[in-house]
Amino acid sequence: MARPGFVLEVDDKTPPLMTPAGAELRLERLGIGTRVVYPADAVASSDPTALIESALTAPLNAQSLASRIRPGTKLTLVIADDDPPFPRPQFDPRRTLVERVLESAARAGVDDVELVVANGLRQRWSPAQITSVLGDRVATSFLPDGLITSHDVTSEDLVTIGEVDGAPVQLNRRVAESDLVVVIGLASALTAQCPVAGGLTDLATINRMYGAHAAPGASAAVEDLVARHVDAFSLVAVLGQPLLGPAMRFVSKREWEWNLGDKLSYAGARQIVAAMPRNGASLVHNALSADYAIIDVVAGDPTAVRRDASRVWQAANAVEVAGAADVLVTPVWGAAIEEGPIGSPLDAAHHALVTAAGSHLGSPFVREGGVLIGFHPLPNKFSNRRQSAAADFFAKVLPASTDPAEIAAEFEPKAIADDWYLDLYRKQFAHHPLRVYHQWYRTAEAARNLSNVIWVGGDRRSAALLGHRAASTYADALEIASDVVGNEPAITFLRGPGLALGDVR
Amino acid sequence: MSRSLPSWAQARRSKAKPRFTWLADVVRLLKAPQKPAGAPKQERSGLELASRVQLPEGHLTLGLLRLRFDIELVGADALTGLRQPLVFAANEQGVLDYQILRMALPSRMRPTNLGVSRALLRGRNVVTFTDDPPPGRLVGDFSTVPAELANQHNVAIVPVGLTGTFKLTDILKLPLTAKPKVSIRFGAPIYVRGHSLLETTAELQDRVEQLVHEGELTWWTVERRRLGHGQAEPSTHMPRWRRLWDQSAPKPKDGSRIWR
Repeated sequence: MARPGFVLEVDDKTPPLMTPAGAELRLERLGIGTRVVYPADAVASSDPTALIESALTAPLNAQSLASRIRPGTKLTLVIADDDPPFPRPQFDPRRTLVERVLESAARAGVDDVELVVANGLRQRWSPAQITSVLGDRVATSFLPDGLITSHDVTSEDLVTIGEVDGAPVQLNRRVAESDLVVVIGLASALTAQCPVAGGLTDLATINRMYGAHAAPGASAAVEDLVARHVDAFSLVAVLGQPLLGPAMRFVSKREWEWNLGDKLSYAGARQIVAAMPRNGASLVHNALSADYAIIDVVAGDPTAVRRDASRVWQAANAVEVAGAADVLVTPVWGAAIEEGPIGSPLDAAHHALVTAAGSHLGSPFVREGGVLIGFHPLPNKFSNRRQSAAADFFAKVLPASTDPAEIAAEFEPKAIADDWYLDLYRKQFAHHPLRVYHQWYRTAEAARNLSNVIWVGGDRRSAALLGHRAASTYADALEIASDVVGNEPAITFLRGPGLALGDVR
Repeated sequence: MSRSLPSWAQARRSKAKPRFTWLADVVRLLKAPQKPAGAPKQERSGLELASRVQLPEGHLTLGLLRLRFDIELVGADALTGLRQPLVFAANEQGVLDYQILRMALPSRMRPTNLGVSRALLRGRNVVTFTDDPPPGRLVGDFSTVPAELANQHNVAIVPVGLTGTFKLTDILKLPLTAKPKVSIRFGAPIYVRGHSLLETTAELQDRVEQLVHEGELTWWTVERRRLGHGQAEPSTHMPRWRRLWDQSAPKPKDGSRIWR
């Protein structure tokens, strides 16, 4: 059992604390009285087979999986990929879950088995990615026959399963025509989104659910419709906090508990990044993966599984925080937001404002009209292949407007019809262009509740394009914030790299 | 439609220069940090005996083994993520089986066959072999020892199929032009939970036989055959020379070359 998260009030004995910014690792001395929210301890994972077996034998609100599989069953395994954890898991539990389900299917003599990745607007999986996540055994058994596919939200081969508010809802053909769909996913945050509705439907439906003009009940209506048409069984592994490998273990540990090895590793990693400004960050961060303890495995009816997985994650990661702060400080470590070492400005802003600041039980970490201070260099750098649409969004759309309604009316239709972006999405494993638009709508919506967002060490032009501000040092950022929050603000600091769930009272 | 940005909102143009930070960081860190008031006590977790398996791309002893043998590791990926210690259960083919299996695995995974129960308690992997195969069969019978060990220590059994090690000491004495072909095939782990020792042993026997016979089949096909669906490969009576004949068969040569 991992030590639970806690809130540390900084005093004169508190050592400087980790404030990573992009690829840079550094220690910053925080002001006395700052409340530092530490997530639960990261612990090593164990073989989840026993947890999976017990989940499969006692499913929630559903018959056992074995009793639902017959030799003639058309079985589809859906691999949820809506919100994968970063750094990527060293042992992806989805692989063990898939293997266990396939063993049950083999035992029942099922012939017709396919795997579909519910990637939604995220990049479709390359063969290398499939092999790395699902393992050699599954890849060699199914990939050569084309039995593992990634969903294409723009595909013309989708099946209309009904209508919501007069608009048709289309679903992946294989999933719609399956006798049984086993949804396999991970729970690494407090999300209750249905992976089938968000990951396997058509572009227009996804836009109606999560776009700039999303109707409040649209998402629930689509999920209901999908639940009526798809006979699904869900299997979800609830993950703990990321435990980095021995060389980077210090990132996961509390600063006053660092041993000599951790201190030397920290100094070494910093020196590599500092000595090689071009390649050092890649050298330290590129092959980074983390071990995630599997807190529980939940199986059964998809709605019940989503609800219970959220409860389990909440029980393991909730931290009680006394009152909303005037200033919320959140470092953004590149390896915790994207596959690259630094992360793009859009990803950094989304992580700080939506993922980190939004990880609470309804009452936010920061008061309405407060200030958010982020640590990230905001370099104008994007992956040419994966983030081509995001690069153009940053270079062409944000200089024109930051308003979601204007962007949705003016730029979004052109982007989703752009042949180059669609070609990259379909063939080159890039994200769908609509993803960056949705990401921005959520970021802008979160920033609307704050009076200021300030980036320490951030590129001034990037910060201005985002509608935020930049400061050279943390002290400067607090000085800028003092115009709004005064000279003695209540400050809450979110210590990474994992997410804590704020129970703000 | 265009926004006007403040005049000071200029992109960073200066390139970062290499810096030396190590010494200052070490000096700063070596001052023992005090524990802040209110911080929870550090938990002293017991020494972890073994961790989950993560196979390296290659390692020294496997490289050395490849100098003398044309060795193939099949299904080693099945070990990834398993919690050690493990009980490897392999078919007995020849006197070099144990040494070859050990050398093919990285040092922290190398199994022992001495004092197996004590070794498992210490977190070390162990290996057990079948009896000698009776005439006409490739795989001998397993005793219930692997299942008993797995049950007693609550660990997984990894079935291992060895081919190509039969009479290997004699083959190595011959003036061969090609390296002898040896194949080590790992199967999916077996857990005793919920099964009797006899059932587990029967399943282990079945899996190792399938691994030895599997050839180029995929895991999915083997898994289906193992569970009694599809056409099972008959374990035909095979004369001794055929085993050696197959073992020493040359690699199929693909005549096509990109330059002609």
